[in-house]
Amino acid sequence: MEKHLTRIALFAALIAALGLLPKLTLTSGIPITAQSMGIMLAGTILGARNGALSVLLFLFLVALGLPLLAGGRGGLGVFFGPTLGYLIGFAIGAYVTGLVAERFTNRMSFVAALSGAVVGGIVVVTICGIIGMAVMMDVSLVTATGFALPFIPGDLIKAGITAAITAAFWKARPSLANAA
Amino acid sequence: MIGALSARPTALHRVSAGVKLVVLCVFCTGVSMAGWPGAGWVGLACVLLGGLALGPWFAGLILRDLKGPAFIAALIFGFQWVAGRFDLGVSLAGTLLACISAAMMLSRTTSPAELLDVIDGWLARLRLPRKYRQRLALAIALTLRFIPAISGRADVLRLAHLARSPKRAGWRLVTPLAIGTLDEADQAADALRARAHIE
Repeated sequence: MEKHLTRIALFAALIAALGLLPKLTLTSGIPITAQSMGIMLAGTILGARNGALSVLLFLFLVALGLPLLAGGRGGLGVFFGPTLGYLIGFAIGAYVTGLVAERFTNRMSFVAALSGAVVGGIVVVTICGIIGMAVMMDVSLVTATGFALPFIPGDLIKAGITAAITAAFWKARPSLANAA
Repeated sequence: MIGALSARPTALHRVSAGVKLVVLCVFCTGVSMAGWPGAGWVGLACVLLGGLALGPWFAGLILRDLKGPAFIAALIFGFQWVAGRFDLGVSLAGTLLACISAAMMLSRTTSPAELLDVIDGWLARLRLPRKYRQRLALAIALTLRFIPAISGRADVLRLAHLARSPKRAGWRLVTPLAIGTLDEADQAADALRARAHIE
């Protein structure tokens, strides 16, 4: 029990700390931050349940007013904006990421992590984000999809990096695979 | 643990966090459900006037919080206007800004610890077992303790990389950071097990 709890807590801290890394800007001008990569990593390394719990804990701290989101944002206000769908999608996405990665016979492989990150971290999060934008901005799903599409190339890069990091992580600590 | 809390006290700091949460919930529901396009803007004006009553510096603080959301609200308004739905654009932008400003007013005048106490009280009333509430409190305490530690570790890794390579470290830091985090989590778990029992 202690190990699960501390891993959930420390991964929530890692997601927060990743928000402090400088962002990269693609040639299209779209910024990509490391924080959403933390969501994917939580799923691939901690697994479905613990990954989702660490993201929920992180969001709970943001709701309490701590400025932990990328750009130093925090407080209840962030849950009233058009990005609400993405915030909800983060927790569901981490769960699905872990679920997909765990379906592979070798969950420590690059392919398992990449599949999980793409399905959970991109497809699920983007769908939630699109639904959130459509509801909050009162636009059609097609229009909201148009708003979300420019971020997909950056997300694909992040999924690739997540898979590489996860594979390197398991290579360095293979014994943690059974305990995670 | 201060979060978004304003260090300078106002009268609103003394109001109970539970009352503020309920008022926020009622306010946002009311503004969203009102069938009149100007309701959000009236709500926003009320929040800003309330902020002004607490002190011009506090109103300035809320206005600063609205900088980012104002850009998004302008985009929403512009998009709806182009789509020929001017009224809807006005309503959505006003509602968004009113709800965000009210929520930030709460965050600026309530410490995370107070909010946590209120949520703990509500969870107790919902008869959530004490052990789950204790686990939540412990997880929050651990997260808050380790955010600066992990950030510090990232700085050390960045400097170590800088000593060996002129390239920017960027994403290369994440693997050792993740490994270090898991190791640290397991050490913390061992320390917890040695010192206390978690139900």
